[in-house]
Amino acid sequence: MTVPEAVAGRERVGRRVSSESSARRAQRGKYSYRDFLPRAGERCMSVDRLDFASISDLTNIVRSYNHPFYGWLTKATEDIRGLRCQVESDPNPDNPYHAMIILPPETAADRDRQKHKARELAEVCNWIEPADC
Amino acid sequence: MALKIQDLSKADDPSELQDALGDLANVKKEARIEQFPVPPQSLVDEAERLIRNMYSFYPSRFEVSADPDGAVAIDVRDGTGRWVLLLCEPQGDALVLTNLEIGERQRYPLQDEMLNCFLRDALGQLKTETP
Repeated sequence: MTVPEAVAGRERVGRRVSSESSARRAQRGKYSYRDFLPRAGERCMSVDRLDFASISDLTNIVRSYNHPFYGWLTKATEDIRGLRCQVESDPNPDNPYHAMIILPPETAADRDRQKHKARELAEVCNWIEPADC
Repeated sequence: MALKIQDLSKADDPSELQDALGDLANVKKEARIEQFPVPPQSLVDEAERLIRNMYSFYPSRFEVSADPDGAVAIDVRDGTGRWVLLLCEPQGDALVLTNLEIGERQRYPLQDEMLNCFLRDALGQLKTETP
């Protein structure tokens, strides 16, 4: 399926969870701010666009990075934008479904604001587990 | 802010408190696994006192976890999208973050008081408006 350049409001994007403890919480419906927290001083976070490939194909892409991976915390793009964050496509040769969440500028130099925004983002999510490939 | 009497049917469920304390008991191990700075035992002890105080005030299932900057995170939610996130930081501060009308954040020194007014008001706001 062709991936449009612009990320539409109704699209779901998924934030990869690489922490086993976060994954256990997510399975109970408790989503952690940690999974939406960029490094200190940064504003961008990787996400995957989930509506243009099967979970199996996406799982294969993510597992090719050889990083721990337990699933995705997913949100609708319009909900993320409603929190004053940007969502922009950022495809690369390995992952045409790659995109970025960009936190508001005032968070860059303020770790407390970063954590507040991360907690807002974690409030309403869904949890998708990877496919058994 | 005037506080209502807490919901005793929830207050009588100690398993929620035990679950939170169980998470706290694992927080140093969790930090090591995640390669976060490990919170010192004195901070974990302080967090336990806070959790017990908070629970007596707002009995609920708190999510306790290791923070990437070495804090102990205590996440309180009311089930309607309203939350209070308390971070007990290794420098001795408590950072309170909320999405409530009373304000988004406040930081205070833990050695001065256990539950400061802002945190009490935040928990009180969850308490008074939980359906």
